[in-house]
Amino acid sequence: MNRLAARPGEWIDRSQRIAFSFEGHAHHGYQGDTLTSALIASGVRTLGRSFKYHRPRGALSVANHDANAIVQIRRAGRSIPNQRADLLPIAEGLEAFAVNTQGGLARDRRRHLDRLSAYLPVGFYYKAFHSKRLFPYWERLFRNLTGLGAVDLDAPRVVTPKRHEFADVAVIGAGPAGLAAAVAAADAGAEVVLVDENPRIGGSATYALASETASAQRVADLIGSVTSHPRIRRFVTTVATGLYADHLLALVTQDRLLKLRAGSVIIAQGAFEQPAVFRNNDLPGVMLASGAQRLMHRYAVAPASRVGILGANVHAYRAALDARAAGIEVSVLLDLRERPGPQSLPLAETLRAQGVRVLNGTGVYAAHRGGSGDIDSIELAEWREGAWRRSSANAIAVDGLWMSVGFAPADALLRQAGAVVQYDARACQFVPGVLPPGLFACGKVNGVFDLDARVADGQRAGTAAALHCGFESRSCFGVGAPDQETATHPYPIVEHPEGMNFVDFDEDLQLKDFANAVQEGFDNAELLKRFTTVGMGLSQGKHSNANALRVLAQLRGMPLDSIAQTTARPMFQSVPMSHLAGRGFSPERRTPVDADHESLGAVWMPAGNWRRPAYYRRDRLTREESIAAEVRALRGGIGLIDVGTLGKIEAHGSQAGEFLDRVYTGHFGSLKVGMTRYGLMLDESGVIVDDGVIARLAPEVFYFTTTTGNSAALFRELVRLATWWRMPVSLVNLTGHFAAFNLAGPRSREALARLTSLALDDAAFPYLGVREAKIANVPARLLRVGFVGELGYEIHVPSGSAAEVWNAIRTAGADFGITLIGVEAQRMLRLEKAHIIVGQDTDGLTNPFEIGADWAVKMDKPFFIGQRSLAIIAKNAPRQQLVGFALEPGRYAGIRECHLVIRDGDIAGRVTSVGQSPTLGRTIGLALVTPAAARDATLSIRIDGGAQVAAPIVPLPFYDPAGARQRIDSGGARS
Amino acid sequence: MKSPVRPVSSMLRDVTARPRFGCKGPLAEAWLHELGLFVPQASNSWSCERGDILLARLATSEFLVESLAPEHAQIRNIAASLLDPAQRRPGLVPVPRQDLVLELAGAGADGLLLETCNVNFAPLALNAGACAGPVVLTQMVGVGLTVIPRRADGEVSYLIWCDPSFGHYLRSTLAGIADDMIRSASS
Repeated sequence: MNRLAARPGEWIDRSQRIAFSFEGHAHHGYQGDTLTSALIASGVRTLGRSFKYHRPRGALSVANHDANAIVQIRRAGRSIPNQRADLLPIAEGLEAFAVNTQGGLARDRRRHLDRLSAYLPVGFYYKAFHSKRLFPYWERLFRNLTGLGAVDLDAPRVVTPKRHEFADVAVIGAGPAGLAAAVAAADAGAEVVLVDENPRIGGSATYALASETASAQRVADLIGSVTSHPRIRRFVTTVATGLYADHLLALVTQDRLLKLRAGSVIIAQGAFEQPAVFRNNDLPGVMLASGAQRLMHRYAVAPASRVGILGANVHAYRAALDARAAGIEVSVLLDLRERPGPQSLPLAETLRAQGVRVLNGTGVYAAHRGGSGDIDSIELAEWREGAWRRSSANAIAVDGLWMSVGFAPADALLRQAGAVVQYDARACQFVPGVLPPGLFACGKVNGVFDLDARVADGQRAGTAAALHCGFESRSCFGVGAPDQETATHPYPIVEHPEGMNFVDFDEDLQLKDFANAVQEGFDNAELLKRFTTVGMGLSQGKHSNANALRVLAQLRGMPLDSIAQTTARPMFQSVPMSHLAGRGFSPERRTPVDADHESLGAVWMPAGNWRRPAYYRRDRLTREESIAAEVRALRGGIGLIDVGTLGKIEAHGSQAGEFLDRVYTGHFGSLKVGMTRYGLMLDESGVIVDDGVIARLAPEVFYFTTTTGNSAALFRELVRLATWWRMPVSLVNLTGHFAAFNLAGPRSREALARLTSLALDDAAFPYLGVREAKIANVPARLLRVGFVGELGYEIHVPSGSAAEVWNAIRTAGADFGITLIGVEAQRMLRLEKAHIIVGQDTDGLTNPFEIGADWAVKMDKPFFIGQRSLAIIAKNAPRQQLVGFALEPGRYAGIRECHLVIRDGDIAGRVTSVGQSPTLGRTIGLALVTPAAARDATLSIRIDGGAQVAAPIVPLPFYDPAGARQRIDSGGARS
Repeated sequence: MKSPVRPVSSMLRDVTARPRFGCKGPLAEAWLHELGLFVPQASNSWSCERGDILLARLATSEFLVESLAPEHAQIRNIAASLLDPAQRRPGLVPVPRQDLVLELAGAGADGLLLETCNVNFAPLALNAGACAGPVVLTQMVGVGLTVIPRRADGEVSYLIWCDPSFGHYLRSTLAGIADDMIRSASS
C-alpha cells in the first residue's frame, strides 16, 4: 500500500472505506479518492494502454488530462465508456476496465504492436487509405486495433437539463490569481461566479507550496475571503470548455451543461505542466511532478518509494522537498540548467544537506523498464557540444521519475475568444497580447508564477473586470514583482537513436515523427497537426502542443515566436454527448382542432414543425384504402380539410399593393377588393421559394397565405424587406392566431349555406373571390379556391373560435356525408389537378418557366424580386421542365417520388410527385426532366431494384382540364 | 364558458381566457389614448395605470392590451370590434391576440426560467413593479414569446404570451420541467 499517513488538507475521508474493482481485481480506497489515486494507493501503476502501440501507461498529470488512463465503468447496471480515471470518484461496487485492450490490460494481445512501431510511422493512416481498393480492409483493421470504450446501446436516456447562469464577472480558475481576482471584483460590487474543475478551490496552491507555511496561510486566507463573500458564487467540479461571443461560457458539471453569460470574463486557469522528452518517457512511474504532488497532498498517496526528479525550475526542488517530507527517498535531482535560479539555489542547498544528489546541466537520456514493466532506472544525459548526449555516468535506480521542466499556459479559452497571444522569450511561453474588450487574464496564463505576483495580477484583473461592468473599486492594487526565475525550459527534449521519446502521449507520437512530417512538407503548425494528429487526442494537446511547437521551430531553424499556434476551438475538454443534447426541445405546432383529429382517428405526420393528420383510420381499411376513400368522398360529395397550418399574413397600408407587387411575380396592386390571386415568390436568382393566395380585403388591406413550412421565415423576410424598402406597410403574422378549413366538393356550397347568410352563388361570390362574413356566428374570411379541383371554400376564423366553427361545419355537412380529409388525400387531389407543391415539385434551382407557370409571372411590372434573373433565364434554353406521366389503368409499377428518369443511360430528371389516383384509376405523377426528355413520348423511370418503367407523358392537368368543377354552380346553394 | 384560470402545475396557471387585443400602425397609439388607456412611452415596457388593464408597448409601435381580471367587458368588446371589417380604419392595424397566456410564479419560477430561457430575469424581477415594468421579447424552449415580470406584495410572477399553435408544446414542456424540478427538490 502506498497510502501516506493522514495529512492536513487531504481530500479523502478515511472514515469511509470504499470497495471497487479494476480489471476484475478487488481494491479499496476512501471517499474523495479518484480511481487513479485509489489504484496508485493500492500499488497499481499501469492504468491503461496507449492508443497506437498499446504500450503500458500510468498516471501523468492526475489533473483531468491523462489520456492514457481512460476506463469503461459498470455501475448500477449501466456500462459507461471513456471515463477519466484521474477525475472519476470511486464508488462502492464500481467496476472499471481499461479501454483499448484485447484480453485485458495485463495481457493485451495487441501489446506486440509496440515492436512493430517502425512499420507504423507518422502518416501511416493516410498512406494506407490512399488505395481505394484497400480502404475497407484498413478501415476494419484500424477500427479493431484502436479506439476507446464501447457504447452501451441499451443505455437508458438520461435527461441532462441545461441551465443558464448570469454574472457580472466570471472568473475561470480558482488558484491564487483567480481567488484574488474574484475577491477584488466582488469587493468592487460585482456579482462574481468563480469556476474551477476541481472539487475544492485553491488550485496549485493546495499542493505545490512545499511546506512554505506563510504562503499556505496567505492562500488559506484568500480561500476564506472567497468562501465568505456574499457576492461570490463558487462552481466547483465544473469545467469551462468554451468561450463564445458576448462572454457566453459553456460550463460542464457532472450533471449538466451550464451556459454562463457574464459582463466580463477573467481567465485564471493557470498552466499545464509539460513533460520532458526522452527515451521511454512514458513508462509507468514517470509522471509530472505536479501530478505526484497532487497525489501526495490531496489523496495522501506516495506514487513512488525511490524517485528521481528531472527539473528546470524551482518547482522541481519543491517537489523534491515534498517527496522527502512524505518519506519518499529522492535518489537524484537532475536540473537541466547549468545553474539553479535564485529561488532554487537555497532549496538545492537544503536538499544537499539532506543527502540528496543535485546535478546541474544534466538530463535523462533514457528511462529503463524493470521486470514489472514500470521504470526501474534512468540513464543520464549531459549537455555537450550544443546537444544533449549520453552521459558516461552509471544509471541510477529509481521506481519513479517526476518531471518539472516547464509549463504551457491554459489559454485555450482566451484564444477561442479572439485573444492574440505572443511568445515571451523571458518566460519561455506564449502570453496574451491583445485581449478583446471585457476579457482579462491573470496568473500563470500571463507567465506569472510567483505567489505574490499571481495574487497581485489577480487583483489587477479583478478590479479591471469589475470596472468593465461599471463597478469602480476603491482599492488600489499594485503590480507584483516579476518572477525571480523562469519556470519553463526552452527545449527540454533529448534525442535518442532508438526513439520512443514521446512528444504526444495521446497519439503515440515520437520525436522522429515530427522530423518525418516536416520532411514531407507538413511544416507549419496546422499542417503538422493534421498530418501527425498531434494535439488531436483526448487531452487536446495539453501536454503536447507546446513541445510540438518547439520541435517544429527547431526543425525549421526558426524562432518560436515566428511559429503560429493552431486555432483554438471549443470544446476545450471532452464533454458527454448527453450534456450537449440536454432535454432536446423540439417545438411542435398544433392547430386548434388537433384534439378532434386525434379523437377522429388521425394518423399523424409532420409538416414543417406542425403535426397534421396524414389520413384518418377507418375500420377494415388499409392506409391506401383509407386515403382513396377520402379522395372519392370529396370528389363525390364533400370533404373537410384542416389547412390551419398555412402561413397567414396581413399587409396594411397605402402601399401594401405595391409592396406585394415587389414580393410576388404577379399583379396585386391592381387586384380588385373582394378577389384573390395566386402568387409565386422568387429569390433574387429567380428560383421559386414560396407560393400562396393573395386576397384583397379592403383597398389598403391584403390577406395572404404562404406554404406551411415557410411562414415564420417568410414573415421575417417580409418585415425585413418592408424596412429595407422604407415602405409604410404594416405586416401582421396571423398564422397561429387564425384557423383555416377547406370545405370542398360538389356539395360544399350547400353545407356552407346552412351556416351563413352570405350569398354564395357564382355571381355574388365568384371563383377566386374573398368575402368577410359570419360563419356559425363567428367572424370569418372565406376564400373561394380550387386547390383540390372542386368547388371549395377556405374558411379562416380566429383560432379561439375554431372548434366552434369546425363542429358547426361538420354538423352542417353531415347530411351530405361530409368526410375528413388528411394530407395524403389532399396531395392526391391536388396532383390530379397538377397543382404543384413548392419544395416537392420544385427544387433549389427551379424557376417558374420550368414548371409552366409563365402565366403567373408579369415581366411588365417595374420590379419584383427575381425579375432581373428571370429576364436572363428567359433568353436561355430551359434546364428542366415539369411534365406529367400516367400509366395504363390498373397498372402499378412501384414508381416513387425521387426515382430517377433515365435517358440514353444518363440521369434526365426525377419524379417529384406520384400516386395511384382513385379518381382516374391509374398511376399519375409529375417529373422534372430535361427538355429533351420532355419532348419524348415516354419517360423511362428507374425504380427500386434497378428496373426501368416506361411511363407515357400526358398533358396536364390529369383531371378536369377545363377547370369546370371548381366553378360549377351546384344548384343547391342560396342564390 | 372556460374557466379564466387553470392550474397547469403548481408553478404555472393558464390565464388564456382573459380578454385581450392587440394593435399597431401609425394611428394605434392615438386610438388607445382615445379609448382612455394609459400608454407607456418607453419601448418594451408595460403599465396598468387603471389597475385592471395591462397595456404593453411591444418594441416601438405595437401594443398588447389585456384585462388582468378574469372578465372585462370593455376589452372584450374592443377585441370583437377590431375583427369587424366594417370598423376598419386606415392607420390602425388590428393584431388578433389568440395567445396562450401562462402565469409563472412560486419558489421554483426563477429556476425554471434559468433552465428554459437565456434572458437574465433576476435584475428585471428585482426592479419590476406591480403596475409597470419592462417587457421582454425572447425565446423559451425554442418558442418565441413575450414575458412580463411583475412584483406584487413582494411576490414575483411572470406573464408569458405565446402563439397559440405552440400552446400545447409550451404548456406541456414547461409543466414537465416544473414537475421535474419539484420532484428533484423533494427527493
